[in-house]
Parts: sequence; C-alpha cells; structure tokens
Amino acid sequence: MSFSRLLFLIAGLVLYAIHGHAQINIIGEIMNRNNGVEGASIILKDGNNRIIGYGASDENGKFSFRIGQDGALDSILLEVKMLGYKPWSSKLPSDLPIYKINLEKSDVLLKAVDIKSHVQVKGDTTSYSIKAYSNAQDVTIEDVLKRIPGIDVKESGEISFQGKLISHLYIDGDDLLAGKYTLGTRTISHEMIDKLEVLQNHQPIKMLQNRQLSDNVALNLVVDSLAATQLVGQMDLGVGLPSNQRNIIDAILLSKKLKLLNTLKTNNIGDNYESDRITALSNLETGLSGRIDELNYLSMLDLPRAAIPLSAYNRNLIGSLSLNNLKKLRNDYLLRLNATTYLSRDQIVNNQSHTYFLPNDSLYTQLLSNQSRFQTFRQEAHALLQINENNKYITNHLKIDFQNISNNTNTGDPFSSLHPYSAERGNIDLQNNLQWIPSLKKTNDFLIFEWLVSYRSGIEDLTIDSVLSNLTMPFALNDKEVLQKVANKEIANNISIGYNMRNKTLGNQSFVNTSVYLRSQLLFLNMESDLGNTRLIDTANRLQWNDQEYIATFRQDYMLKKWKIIFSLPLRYRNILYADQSYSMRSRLNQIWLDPNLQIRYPVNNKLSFRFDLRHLHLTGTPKDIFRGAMLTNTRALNSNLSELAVSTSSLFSLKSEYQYPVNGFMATFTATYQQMNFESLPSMMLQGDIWTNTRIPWPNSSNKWIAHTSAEKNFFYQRTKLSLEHRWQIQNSQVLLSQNAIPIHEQSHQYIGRFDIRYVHNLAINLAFNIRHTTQESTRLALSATHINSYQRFGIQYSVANWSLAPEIARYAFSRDKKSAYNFYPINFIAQHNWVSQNILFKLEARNLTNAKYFHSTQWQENLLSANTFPLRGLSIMLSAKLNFRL
Amino acid sequence: MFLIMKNKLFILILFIGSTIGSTYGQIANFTPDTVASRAFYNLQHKYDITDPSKIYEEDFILLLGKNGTSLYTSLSSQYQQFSLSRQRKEHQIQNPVAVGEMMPPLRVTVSRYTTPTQYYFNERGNSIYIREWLVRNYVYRQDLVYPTWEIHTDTATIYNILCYKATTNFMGRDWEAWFAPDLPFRKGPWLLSGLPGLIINARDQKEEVMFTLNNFIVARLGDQTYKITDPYEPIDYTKYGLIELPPQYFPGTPNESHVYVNEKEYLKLKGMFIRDPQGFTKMQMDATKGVDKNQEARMASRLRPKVTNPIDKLNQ
Repeated sequence: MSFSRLLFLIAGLVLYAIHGHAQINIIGEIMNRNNGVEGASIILKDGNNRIIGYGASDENGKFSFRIGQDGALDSILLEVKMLGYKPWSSKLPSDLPIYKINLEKSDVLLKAVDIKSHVQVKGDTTSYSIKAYSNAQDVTIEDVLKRIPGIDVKESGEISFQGKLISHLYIDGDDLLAGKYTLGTRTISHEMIDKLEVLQNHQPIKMLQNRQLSDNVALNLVVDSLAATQLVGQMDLGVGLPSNQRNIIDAILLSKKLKLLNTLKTNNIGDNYESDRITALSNLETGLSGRIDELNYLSMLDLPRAAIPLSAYNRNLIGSLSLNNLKKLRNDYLLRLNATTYLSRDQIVNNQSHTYFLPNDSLYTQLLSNQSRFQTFRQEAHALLQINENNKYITNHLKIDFQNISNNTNTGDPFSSLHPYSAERGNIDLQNNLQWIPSLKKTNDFLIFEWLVSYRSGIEDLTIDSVLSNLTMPFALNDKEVLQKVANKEIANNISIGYNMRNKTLGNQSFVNTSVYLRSQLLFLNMESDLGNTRLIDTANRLQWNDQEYIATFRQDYMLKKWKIIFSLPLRYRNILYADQSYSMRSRLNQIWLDPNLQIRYPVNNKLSFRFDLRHLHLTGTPKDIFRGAMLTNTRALNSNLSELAVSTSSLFSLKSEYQYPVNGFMATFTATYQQMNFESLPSMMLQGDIWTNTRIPWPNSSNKWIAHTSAEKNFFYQRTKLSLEHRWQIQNSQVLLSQNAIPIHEQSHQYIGRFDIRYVHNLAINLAFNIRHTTQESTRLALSATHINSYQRFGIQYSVANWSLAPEIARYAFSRDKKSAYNFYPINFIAQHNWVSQNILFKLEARNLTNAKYFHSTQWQENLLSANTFPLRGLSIMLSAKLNFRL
Repeated sequence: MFLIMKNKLFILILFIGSTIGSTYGQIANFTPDTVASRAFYNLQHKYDITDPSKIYEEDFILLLGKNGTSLYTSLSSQYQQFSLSRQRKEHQIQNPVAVGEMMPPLRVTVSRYTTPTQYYFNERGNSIYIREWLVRNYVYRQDLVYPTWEIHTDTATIYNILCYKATTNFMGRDWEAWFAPDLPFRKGPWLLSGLPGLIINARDQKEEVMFTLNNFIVARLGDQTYKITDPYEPIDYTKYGLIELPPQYFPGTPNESHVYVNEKEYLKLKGMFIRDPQGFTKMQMDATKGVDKNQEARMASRLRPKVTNPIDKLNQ
C-alpha cells in the first residue's frame, strides 16, 4: 500500500470517527414567570418518533443532555411535560446554545384515563372488560362476546362457556329476558355494557347457595353506569331491490330499578328470528329436580337445510314484537312481564337428485324438486313475581303460550305418499308454578314447596331418548327419532311438599316423583325416584302406545377443603310397548340404564382449576332398530316375539379434565371416552309375497370406540387475535354387514378443527376456519371457510368462502366401489357496503351477491345412494337503510 | 450466652427506640405533597424456585404527588387492616361491658400475607424513605438511584395510551417495562422508576415477577378533605389526599408512630430478627410494653409463604 493511500485511509477513519462520535450538548432552562420549574420531564425524540434522550429539570429549572447526533439536528423534537403545566414541544432550534422554555400553567392536571384490567378473577367470578375486547366495527354485545376467551357463540346465538351451555344471562343481575337471551345479546349495543362476568358454579336461588352444589355457568352483563340512566333506542328502516325490506325499532332502558327491552322487527330478506327463542338451559328444567323436558312437542317436519345461512335461500315475510319489562319492587323483589307475538311465512325451494349405484355397476338418477311453505304464528305471555332473599325464596310464574304452525310441501315425488303434503298443528299451554323455600332455623337444611297447575293441548311427538338411541344404534343419523304424533290433552296438578311428591295425569298417564333430601355441611344426599306410566291411543293408525318408566337416583356431594366431589347414580328402566288395538301386533322396547357419574373439582387457585368427570353409562336392552321396524310396518303382521330376540349392552366411560387460565386467555380441555357395544344378532324382515318372514342376520357382536378430544384456545396481542384448536382422535373396531357377511373394520380417524380470528388491524379483519378429517377408511376431508373484511373509512367490503370442502366420500365397505366422491363448494359471497352520516342519521347502502350453491352429501353407508341438493340462492340484492339512534 | 444476647438486644432496641429515633427524625427531609393521581398495580410473583406453578398475588397502590413524591404501599394490607378494625368494632358492639367489667378476649383473624414495606419517593430530596416492619415499624432513608434504563424503539398502545418499551438490569433481574410518556410521572411499581413516564407494565425476562397496572385514577378535589378522625383507624390510601412520612416515635406518641433509624442500624436489627425471630419479637414487645404497633403486619407475617425466589435477588 502506497503512503498516499495509507494517509487517505487514516484521514477517512478519522473523519468517520469524528462523524460517528459527533455529540452535541443540549442545555436548557424551563421557566414559569421567571421562576425555574423543578422536576419537569424532558424527552428528546428523533424524526422516527424514537426516544433518544430523557431527563428532568433541576431545582433551578435547568437541564442538560449530551446526545449522539446520528441524524439531522433539526429533526429532533424536544418535549417537556409537567403536571399542572401545558405540555410544550418544539423542533430543536440549531442556533441557540441555551434553550429557554416557558411553561404555561394549566388548570387541567391530567386527562382522565380509564384503565382497568382486561380480566379480573374473584372466586367463581371472572370479569372481562368489554372495552378491552371491542372495537369500532362492533355493533351488538354479541360481537364482543365472540372474542372473549372461553366463550363460544354459535350461529344460532347459543352461548357456551368452555363447551358448556350457559344457564342464565343476566343484565345487571336480573334475568330480564326470561332465558331467551339471544334477543338481548343481538340487540343491546356493546357500548352500554361495562364488563362481562362469567359466574361459574352458579346457583341462582340465594337460599340454596352454599347448600346445593351447582355446575351451571351464567353470564352477567354489567351495565355502564352512564348508560343505565338513559332510555336508548334505534329506528333502522331499509328498502331495496328486488322488493326487499328490513325494519327494526327498539327501545332499551337498563336502570337499576326498571329494565325494559322492547323490539319490533320485520323483514323479507331471509333473516328469521328463530334465534330469539334460544332458551337458556335453566328454563328447560322442570322444578328443582333438574330434569329436562325431553319432549320437543312443537317440532314438525324439519326444513330442508343447506350448510349455508338460511337467509341465503329463504324467501320469507316475518314480523316479531317482543316486550320485556322488569321492575324491582324492592331489593330482592321483582316483577317481570315478557310477551312475544311472532308471525312468519317461509318459502324454501330445494332441488334434489338421487343417484343409485345399481348392482350391475350402472347408475340411476332421479331428479326431484320440492317447495316448502311454512307459516308460524306464536303468542307468548309470561309473568313472574319473585322474592329471592338469603333466607326466603318465593316465585309465582304464570305462562300462557299459543302456537299454530301450518306446512305445505310439494315433494315433487309422484310416488311419495306425502305428495303433496300439508299439515296444521296448534298447541296451547297454560301453566302456573308456585315455589316456596322457607327459611329454617338450622341453616343448612331447607324445605321445598312446589305447586304446578297446567293445561296443555296439542299434538305430541313421541320420541326415543337420544342417549338411548345413540347407544343402541351408533350409526343412526338422527339424534331423536320421532316415532309417532299423537294428539292429546293434559291437565296436571302437581303439588310437592316437603319431599317433593308429584302426581301428574295425561289421559291415562300417571307420573309420581318422590325426592328425599338429606344434607349436612359436608354431605348432600339425594334419593329421587320417578314412576311413570303412559298409555296413549293413536286412533288414526289404530295403534296404542304404552310407556312405563322407573328412575331412581342416588346422589352424594362432598366438600373437603378445596375439593368438591359429586357422585350420582341414576338407575332407569324403560319399557315401551307399541301395538295395535287388539295387541295382535306388538313390539317391545326394554332398556335398563345405569349411569354412575363422579365429578371432582379442584380449584388450585383463583385462576387455575381442574375438573375431572368420570362417567360410566351402562345400557342393556333391545336395539332400537327392531322397534322402529315395528312402526314402519304397522299395518303388517309382525312377529310378536321379535323384540325378545335381540339384546344389546352398551358401556361408556368418559374422563374430562379442564385447565383454564383466563388472565392471559388460555383454556384447555381434555376428554377421553371409551364406548363398547355388544349385540347378539339382528333380526331382519323380508317381504315374501304378502307375508313378512323373519331371518336372523349376524350382527357385529362387539364394537368398541376410543375417543380422545383435546381443545385449546389462546388470545394474543392485547386480545386482538383468538386462536382455537381442537383435535379429535377416534379409534373404532367393529363389524359391518356386507352381503350377509360380517366384515371386521378397524377405523382410525383424526379430526382437526381450528379457528383463527384477527380483529381489525389497519381496517382489516380476517376469520379463518378449517376442519380436516382423515380416517383410515375414508379419505381426507377438508373444509375451509374464510372471511376477509376490509373496512376503509366508511366503505367496507366483505367477501367470504363460506364453506368449501372436498371430500372424496366414503365407504369402501358400504359401496362395492370406492371412487364415489362428493364435495361442497360455495362460490365467494360478496357484500359491499358504504356508510355515511347526515343529520344524525346513519345511511347504509349495501349490495350482496349470493349465487347458486350446490350442496352434495352422501347418505347412510347402508344404501347405495348419493344425494345432491341444490338450493337456489337469492342472487343480487341492494338495500338502502337509514338508522337513527335516540337517547332520552 | 442467650441471656447476654437478649440483654444486648434489649439495650439496643431501647437505645434505638428513644435516642436514635429522635435524632434521625430531624434528618427526614420530606415536604408533604398533594396527591395528583393514583395508580393501582397487581403483582404476580412466582416465589418458589422449585415450583413455578405457585404464584403469589398482591394488589398495590402508588400515590403520585404533584411535586415529585410518591408512596407505594400494599392495598391488600390496607383492606386487611380495615377488616381487623371492623372485627374489633363488632366485638365491642356485641360485648357491651359495664364499668368495672372485663371485655371478653378478642380473637381477630387475617386471611393472607401482605407486604408491610412502604416506599416514599422524594425526588427533590433525592431520597427514598422505606418503611419496614420488624415487630415495630421502622423508617430509614436511602439515596434515590434510578435504574439505568435502555429505551427501545418498540411501542404499543396499552389501554389506549402510547407506551414505549424500556429494559434494565436491576436488583439481579433483567426487567422489561412499558411506560407512558403522556403520564409524566417518573415512577412505577416497587423500586422500578426513573423513566420519563409512568410504568404501565413491568416484568422480568423469566416472567417470574409481573407488575400490571389495573387502574389509574386522577385525584379529585374532594380528596383533600379526607381526614383521619380516629387515630386507631387505618388510612384509606384510595381517598387520602396527602403524601407524608408516617408520624415519628417519641416516648408517649400513639401506637402507630414509627422509629426512624439509618440504614445500617436497620440492617443490624433485621439480621437479629432473622437469626432469632422469637427472641427478637419478645424483646420488641417488651420495649413497647406489650403494645402491638402493627397488628395486621404481625398476624400476616405468620402466613408468609416460604420465598426462595425473591423479587430483589441481590439482597436475598
């Protein structure tokens, strides 16, 4: 290296060093009316708003900094803040050696800052700050609830916490909506709510708190103190093409003493208000024994459904008026009135194609088109007077419900006996229920008086219990099998005193329930027994139905320090005889049902708790299939001994553990289930000429199933993102029937379900969901749904692939071929909207394009049949709406 | 040997209690300040090094003065003091005693351990006064030395306030804190302070200690009118409008008065307390003629969990 080059290099290094270490002194003085201000906070920021220096003024108001000068001096910002003075900031002037800053006094000390922790845990109550989880795009409280860790809101509006349906939804501690909470969660603005409280192990009756363990979860919406004083409401009126309309008017007052939530809604754009009828778990319970009324006596034929929102293909006209008013007479005294009038006309078109795979390897396709029209009118009025004090509980509940449903369906199938099908059904239900739990001197004892008088008239569906049908027929598609519709009238007068005696009559049905409660501080013993006998006569089909049921339940609760242990042992016997009037044809279902259940709960601390549920369900009885066979062939002679031929036993063990740490939004559950079934044989009937003959077919003599289910959920990034993952692993060993031969099947499947929800970050929200199922017998099935919402200022676009799945479908063992495939594909749904405000009225112009959807599904594996349903969607629609919010 | 030690202890305590207390009182240079705001913090502390699932929690309040002072004290302790006070009152109401009769013995209970330490920051005097409990209440002074913070470019909006990230190594732990320049208080939870804005969240890198701001309230004018009417009532720091050092002990002053010592003397006493807690307690009680100076702290100290992973790792 030459000397000149070396010199050049050294000079360069020196210059670099001088530049690299260039430092400047910043000296200043902070004054107020010529007096130095002590303790002012001084911050220096560079052009990128980064803090590059900070300090405080001394007792004379002077300060000095030495900072490295990496960027231009004039881009540095000097900020001075001091309590009681106006904040001061300025770019660094480059010419002054000493900066003199004059601070002006300010009366405003600080802006009020509303800071609360997102999550607070206190005992069984976890509080979530609604503001922390909400954003400007949210409208109702339901939008916010969806993001809160552990809470799941279904499309129907049903809310569950940690997979458990909630028992109550309170508004400031009051059950204003009588359990029909969806009306509230879909109407009340999230701005009116301050926080959400999740109440675990919730016991609504104060008298029974600390006396009776409860496993229920309830939600309480704590109303913002400012919102509680105002009557708020909205008027949202919209019209559009093709002849669309949607109108909502509501008025809400949520003060401490008076609460009202009144709504009037109409539309013809496909929205139905069925979700307003979602009822909290507790309101289905009958009395205090906790049993659930299993008869869904209001159901008719199901609507044909596609796995897309009903509004996309329902051509309807609907109106609903709901009045909910609650007045607190005194602290624990309340009077509540709820009334609903509802009228809807739904029309749904469904085009079906059925492809049969014939034995000679050829296909036969049948095309059908059906049109269903439903009209529902419903009128409900409920009044409740309740005293819920620590030492007294009195409630009087009066219910008047009336409902009329008519259905007119053109099945399009000329061979169907239902072509065309029409039906009408009316129900009336009057009920008055009085409960009294007086106080006793011994604080841990309690006594219950209950009086129920009711009149009910209508058509009832007689069903087989879903648990029974699932166990006896694991491959059955329907959870509840409607066996017969019988018109009946029921008058019940049920007086329960002391140990809860009941006596009901229904035609010639009698029902006796006895309960004995024994309790001490640590021990809770409950012996309960039911005796039921029903005999109904179906004159239309000249059949009769005898149903006898006996239930005995033993329950014991322990509380040892932090441990809570509940053991219950229900024993149930059911005997159903289905026969013609002369008993010449009959079929009998016998079931013995034993379900020991051990629940152990251990709260480690107020954030972490574990829960184990160990359950063994044992069932012995006749397979349901035989019973159903009897119904389907009700006009044919049936072997009367058939039902005794087959006996099945089923066992089920399940273990569930939960881990929850709501503070950082982490929840995890693990459930392991083992299920075993044994069958001797399955009778089968064959029609030969005009005579039914019975043959015995070898049935899988044993079948077992292992299921491991794990789910976890976590919120990230200051609650902006929610990620939940679920894994279900199932191993099943069974035998299926193919051409009269039993073939052993080993099937293993993994199912992964994930949801990923990013809140609005830079005007963008993304929801992603996937569902992957892989089995050894089937191929991999994948379903994806994604919604991307881009809201830029007042213009928003939302497009979604609602549900897209590819499922090379099934069933090597069902069909003789294995290349049948089915898929669901929904084209992208597109919604664009533009909002603007004029004269305090929010205008919204909305355009939706919903194109035709095809929905394919394969039917049960037993049949060589592939069905395809097509639902013509509504296509392009445009709506202009105007919304006015008012406060009084 | 034990007797000699006991005697030495007794003499030392008497000496500190009477003589030194009065002299150090003159050194306390702390002008009472008006409360401008109150910050509420929640502490989560994995105190057992062998079992990270054990988490200790406590709520604290930080009173922020207008003139650079602050007081950091346990809110849980305050609530427990109120509970004791209520129990005493109920006992008096339930047991009316005629003149000459003896009041039945009162058995009060506390439910948890609380931190008895209080930190009084005084920026102008460049000092921190620390109130500690060693059967009696002691106050000693330390020079105010802020941790050396490194401010990062990361920002986050927490509770709708723009926050900057800062890190430091302090008392044997690497800390990460988020502070808000818009709240111009150079304070934070515990001894974490010196940033140009209130610390909103702070945690150590191992996530063994976490301080989280729960609530921040701007003081109201009405706070100035809050007066302590009953000297036996604990102070409600959520209402009290002044930051001032606790009353100093002189012979004849009320029970709540504090003994002012220097740091060296305090450490000496603490060493004795650790070596012989029972003997030390007895001696202290003798020195105060059996009058309990801080019943809540004494009862709560029995419920102290065994801490093997203290927040301050330097002075274990």
